[in-house]
Amino acid sequence: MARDDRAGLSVDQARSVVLAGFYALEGRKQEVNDLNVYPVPDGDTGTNLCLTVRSVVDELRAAPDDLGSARLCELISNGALMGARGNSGVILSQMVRGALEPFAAGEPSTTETVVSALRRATDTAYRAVRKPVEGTMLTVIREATEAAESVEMGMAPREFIDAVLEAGWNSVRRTPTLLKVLADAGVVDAGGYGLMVLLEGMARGGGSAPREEAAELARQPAMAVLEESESAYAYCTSFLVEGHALDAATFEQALVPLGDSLLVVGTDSRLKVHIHTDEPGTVLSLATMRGVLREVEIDNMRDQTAAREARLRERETPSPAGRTQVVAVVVGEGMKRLFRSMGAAYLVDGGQSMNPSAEELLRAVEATDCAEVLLLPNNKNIIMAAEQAAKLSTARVMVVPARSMQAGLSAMVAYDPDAGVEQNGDDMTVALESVVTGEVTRAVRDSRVDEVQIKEGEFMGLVDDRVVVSDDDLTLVVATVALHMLDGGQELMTVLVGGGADAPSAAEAVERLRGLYPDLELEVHQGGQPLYPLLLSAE
Amino acid sequence: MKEDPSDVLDRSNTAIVVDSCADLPDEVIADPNLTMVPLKLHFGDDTFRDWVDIRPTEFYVRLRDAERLPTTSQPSAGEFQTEYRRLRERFDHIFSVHLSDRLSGTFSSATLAKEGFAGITVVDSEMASLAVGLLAHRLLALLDRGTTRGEFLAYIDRYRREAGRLFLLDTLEYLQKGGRIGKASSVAGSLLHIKPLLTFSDGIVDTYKKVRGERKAMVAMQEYLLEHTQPGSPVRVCIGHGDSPDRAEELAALIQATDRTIDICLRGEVGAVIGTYAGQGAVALFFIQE
Repeated sequence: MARDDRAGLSVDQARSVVLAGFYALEGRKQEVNDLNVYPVPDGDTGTNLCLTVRSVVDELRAAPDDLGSARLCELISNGALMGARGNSGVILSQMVRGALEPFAAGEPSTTETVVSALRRATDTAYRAVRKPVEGTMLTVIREATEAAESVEMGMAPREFIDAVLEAGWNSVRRTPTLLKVLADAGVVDAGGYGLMVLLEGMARGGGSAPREEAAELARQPAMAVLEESESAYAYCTSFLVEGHALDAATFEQALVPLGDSLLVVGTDSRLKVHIHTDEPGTVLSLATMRGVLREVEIDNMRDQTAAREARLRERETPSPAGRTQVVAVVVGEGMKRLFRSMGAAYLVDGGQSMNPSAEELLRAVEATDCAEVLLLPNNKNIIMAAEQAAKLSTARVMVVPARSMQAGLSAMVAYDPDAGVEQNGDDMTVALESVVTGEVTRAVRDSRVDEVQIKEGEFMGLVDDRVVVSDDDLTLVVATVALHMLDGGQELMTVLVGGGADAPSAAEAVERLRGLYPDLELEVHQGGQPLYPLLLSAE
Repeated sequence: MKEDPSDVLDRSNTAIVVDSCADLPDEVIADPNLTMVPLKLHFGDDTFRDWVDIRPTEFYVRLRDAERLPTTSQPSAGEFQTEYRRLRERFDHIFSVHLSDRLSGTFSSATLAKEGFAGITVVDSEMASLAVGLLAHRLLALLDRGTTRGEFLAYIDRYRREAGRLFLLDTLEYLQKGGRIGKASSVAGSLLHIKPLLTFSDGIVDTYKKVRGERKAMVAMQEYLLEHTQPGSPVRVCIGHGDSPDRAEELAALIQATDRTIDICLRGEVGAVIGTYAGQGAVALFFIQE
């Protein structure tokens, strides 16, 4: 069959459009999280939308370049459904499914096709929600669609895109007039805002400057309101059910009595379920009767709410954009907060065993829209990718070769947003030279490294990447690591406590150091990083 | 009378006026050629004249217990006028030296007050606290040996350009709450306990360097002095502190350990008005090489 080049979507096209949207959203994720008050102020709308799009990005990366349009649309649709998290993510996945229908049918990439894609996206999303609420991302996609349908035929594509985006942002602006909880909190709807950030990124490319009005819409909500509007239910529960002849409607009916924010969407072989409930166990057993469960996630929303409020309280006074911006690779909520508080403008998720590619780093550098950029890989395995990204970028980029996040933090102390990139790069690199780093982690297998015998499951202590101790006794491991770190007149130790189960006892072991080193300034922060109960630095 | 660069200035004909934000110690305030006009401090409904009604020790105790931060206000033009009138009966020349116009309305009050008087020069030091104190102290030394108006003004200009000025605050909280944070704001939100070394530039507070750890900050202050001086001619040094004499001692020892010709000619404490913005625990280094 002859292929019409204009028909449908190519993998290349899809990759570049989706990536541009993803990076736009990634850059403003925290803003979206902090807007989130509806349906519950759990502060993760931005993260959920990002993870949903991320899943599509991953599918597209793995896809063969010559995939046909219909298969491609199926792949994207599936990626969105698989990755969908939270209410907003699930609704977004339905918009994606609807929007792709015309492209899957092989329609050419024209303005008319985009109009019909928007219409399908709106209808599919509205159908997925049991009781559609106005003043949410549903309203935003609908009003953008209505604007698209009402433009004159034959309008230039550029003007068409402007008109649709304009209508979408206006709709975001009106959300507080439709939904009282938003007006009370003095915010616009987080999902709608996130959707427009995504669409704008897709339409204009990731490197374009964010709209001023967007930033203004993302004003901070009033704290007073947050305290009153917690969800009635404790657990945000989501999962996939795979089986045969699955019926979304009957399963949804069965779940209605168990909670709210309920969404059941998908195909007859795979359903995505999202519910806020006090009985996640009951929900899951109802699901196992219908098929096989995958990607089960249960989050305690009370924790999420607390984390969000803490973040808002800690928020720094926003500093005006300086001459030089920082892009840093960071994992762990506490770590991100620390880096952000020191002025790092763009954070890329990643670290040990999840190294971002040079391309991802490049995109993040370009998203800063700044001519001078400092790039902190914060992991020895990411330094090369960072250097590659620096070479590829049109901005003047200097890589500050931090081999760990804790070293990166020490380098950030020397960061001066008003100075140039070379000056900053030199100062920050010098700062790295006087830092000794330590790590405590669990050994994953028996081995012998650096003259130390290691048994699986033991706590392993490293100083500047060298194993110095391995033992079951965490207190002993921490003390040994400190002994190796503090051998050259260091006076300040910074400890970042991880997010895992070993973290509390590790933090306790650190407190004992105060008795051993009374003159040491010991600063302990919640880093929240995975894999490492403790990351340490001394200077 | 006409002001001419060749006018001879000495202790018989010239007076220096400062405001209380020069944080000069009692022995300098007692100098017959020096007059201090106090700013005011308001704790709730109670008003205190800086350094007159409230001394640093009492102030820091109150600051610790205060539910709300005190506020401060500049002297009125009338208060300056009263002093100018009194001094003009005895002196031909008055130099009124004040803290930065960009940090306080004091300079404006003094400028307004000098209208209608001859022989009064109002100087914006573009600094604050003992940085102004050291300038006044050096000007008195010039009067001791006798000088000319031209030399006097040239010294003030050189001091504004060249004087070393560096201070370390325990927290930026007070500077921020008091709205005097200037360009130092970029480190204010940091969750790590960063100690910024601050300086005055263009009359506002600016970050010189960021370090972590007390000892490192002290060493950075020593390095700063070495970078801004040469061996040889004496370096006139002032060391100040806000309720932290130990840190001041440590800094003095570090400075004296250098190969520069160090003359610590002035030591002082941070008063209540400056302390409102600096908080407890400040340590400051100001100097000028002859």
